Amino acid sequence: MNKKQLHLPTLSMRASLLLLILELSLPFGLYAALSAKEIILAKLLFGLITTGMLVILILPENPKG
Amino acid sequence: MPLNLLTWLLSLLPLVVVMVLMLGFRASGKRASAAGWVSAVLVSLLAFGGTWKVLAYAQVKALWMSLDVLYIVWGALLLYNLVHEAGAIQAISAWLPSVSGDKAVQVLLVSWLMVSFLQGMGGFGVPMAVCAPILVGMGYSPVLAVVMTAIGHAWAVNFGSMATAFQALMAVTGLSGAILAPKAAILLGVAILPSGMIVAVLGSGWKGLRHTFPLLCLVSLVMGTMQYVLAVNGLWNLAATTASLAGLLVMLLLLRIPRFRQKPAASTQSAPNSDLLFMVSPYLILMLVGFAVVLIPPLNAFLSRTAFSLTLPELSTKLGWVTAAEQTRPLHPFSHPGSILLFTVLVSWLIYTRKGYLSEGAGRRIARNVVRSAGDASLGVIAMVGVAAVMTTSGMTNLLARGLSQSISKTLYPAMAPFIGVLGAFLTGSNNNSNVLFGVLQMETARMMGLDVPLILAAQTAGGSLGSVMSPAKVIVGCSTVGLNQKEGLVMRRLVLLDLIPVVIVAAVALIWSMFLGASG
Repeated sequence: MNKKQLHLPTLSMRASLLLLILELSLPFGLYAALSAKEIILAKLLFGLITTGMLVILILPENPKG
Repeated sequence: MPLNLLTWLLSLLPLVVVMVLMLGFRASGKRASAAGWVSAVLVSLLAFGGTWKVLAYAQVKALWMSLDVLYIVWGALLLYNLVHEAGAIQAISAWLPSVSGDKAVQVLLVSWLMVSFLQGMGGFGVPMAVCAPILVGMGYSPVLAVVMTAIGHAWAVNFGSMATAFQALMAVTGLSGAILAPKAAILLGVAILPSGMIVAVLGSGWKGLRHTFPLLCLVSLVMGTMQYVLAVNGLWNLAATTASLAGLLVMLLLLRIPRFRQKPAASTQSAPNSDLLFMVSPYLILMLVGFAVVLIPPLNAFLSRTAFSLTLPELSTKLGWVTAAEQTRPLHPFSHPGSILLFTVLVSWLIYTRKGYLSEGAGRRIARNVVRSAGDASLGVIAMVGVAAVMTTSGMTNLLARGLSQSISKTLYPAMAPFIGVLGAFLTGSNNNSNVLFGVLQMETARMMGLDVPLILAAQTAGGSLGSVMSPAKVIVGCSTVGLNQKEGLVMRRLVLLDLIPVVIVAAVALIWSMFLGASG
C-alpha cells in the first residue's frame, strides 16, 4: 500500500453494505421523482448515486473486511 | 453521432478502463466497474450529447436489470453457504474419487459436465459459484477453480437457463426458433470439445488431456448431438440441460472402463451414501422445483400472475440518439429463479436441521458469509450493468457495433459476428442482454451484406454464450464463494485469453461455413 493511500479512510464491509443499500434504493426514488417531474429532487438523487460510485472508486477497500 | 475513429475509440473507453483496471492493475470488479461507470458517464456527457435525464433513466434501467441478477446471486449464495455449513461441499469432494480415482475425469465431471448442467437451472455465474468450491475442496487453487468452471460451461449458456438468451434473440429479431436453432446449435456444439479440452489441460495437464481425449470426444459428440436434436425440435428450453445430463450419464457409463476408473486414493473417505444423498438434497430439490415451475404451465401461470415493471419514456440525447419508450422486463417475484432458490433454502434448512447437520450458530455464520460475499459482488454488478445502460442509452454501444461491422468486409464479417456477441456479453454480463443489444444490428448488417442471416445470428448468440462467462459481472459472482472477493482481476487475467480459444474456433467455423456453404438467407 502506498503512503498516500494510508491517509484515506478505507471502505469497510459495513460501509460497502450501506453503499449497496443506497445504490439499490436511490434509483427507485429517482424514478419516482422523475415521474412526478420533481426535477430538483431527481438531480439531487442522481448526484447521490454518482457520489456513491465515486466513493467505491476512490476509497481503498479494507483488507480486513 | 458520426462514426469515425475518435468517436469509436471514445465509445470503447469505458470498456478499456474496466479491462485495464482488472487485468493490468488487478483492481477488484467493484472498483473497476465503478471506474467504467464514471468514464461512461463522462464520455456520454462530453462527447455523446448525454443529458442528466438520459443518464438518470439509464441508472433506473440498470437497477431494474441488476435486481433480476442480484435476486439470484443472493439466493445462490445463501444456498451455497447453507450447503457448505452442512459439510456437503466437503462430502461431494470426498465422494468424487470413489467415482473415479482419475483426477482428469474428476475435474471434467465437475467443471465441464456438472457446471453445464447447473447452467440449465439459472445462470448469472451461479454454476461457477456452486462448482468452484468443490474444485477448491479437491485441491485446486481458487483462481484455477473459477477459470475452469467458467470455460467448462460457456457452451451451455445460450440454451441453458431455460434458453432465455435464445428466446431473447427470437424476440428481438422476429425470427422463429425453427430458423435460428439449427445453426446456433451447431456453432455451440462446435465449442463443446474445446471447452472440455481446456478444462482437461488446466486440471490435469497435457498428459491428462491425452489420456481423456477419447472420452472427451465421445461425450462432446453425445452432448452436441443431443443439444442439436432438442433445439431443432422446438425443445430449446431444455437443450443444454438435457445435453449435459446425457453427457454426465455417458461419462459415468464410460467410467466402467478400467482405463478411466482408476482405484481411489487410499486416504479417501467419503460419507455413507444415505448421508450424501441428504447432503446434496438441496441440489435435487432445486432441480425438481426449477423444472416444475418451468415445465408445468398451470403452476407457472399461477406463480407468474404477480409481475412488476417500470415504464420508461422515450429518451433523446442532444445529438439526436433516440431510445424508444419501453416497459422494462417484468419481474415475476414468485416464479423468479431467486424465489426458487429461497424456497430450496427453506426446505433444505428443515432437512438439515432434522438430520442434525447444522451446528449451533450456523444461521449467524451463514448470514455473515452471505453478506460479506454478496455485498461486494452486488456493487460490482450494479456498476457494470450501469455501464451497459449508460452506453446503450447514449448510443455508444450502437456506434461500437456499427464501427466493427462497417470496417469488416463481407467475406470476413461471419468471423467478426461472434466477437460482437462477446462484446455485448462482456459489457452486460449476459448472453441474453447481448442478443437484445446486438441481435437486430447483426441481422440488419447480414441482410445489407447479403450474408446468411441465421448463420450470423447463430454466431452472435454463440459469441454471447462463450463471452458471457468472462464478463466482470459473472466473474465477480463466481469468485464470491472461493474467497476471491476483490481479487477478480487475477481470474480475468487467465480467463480472457483461454476463453477466446473457443470463440476463435466458432468464428473460424462461421467463416468457413459462410465461404463454402453460405447463401443469403
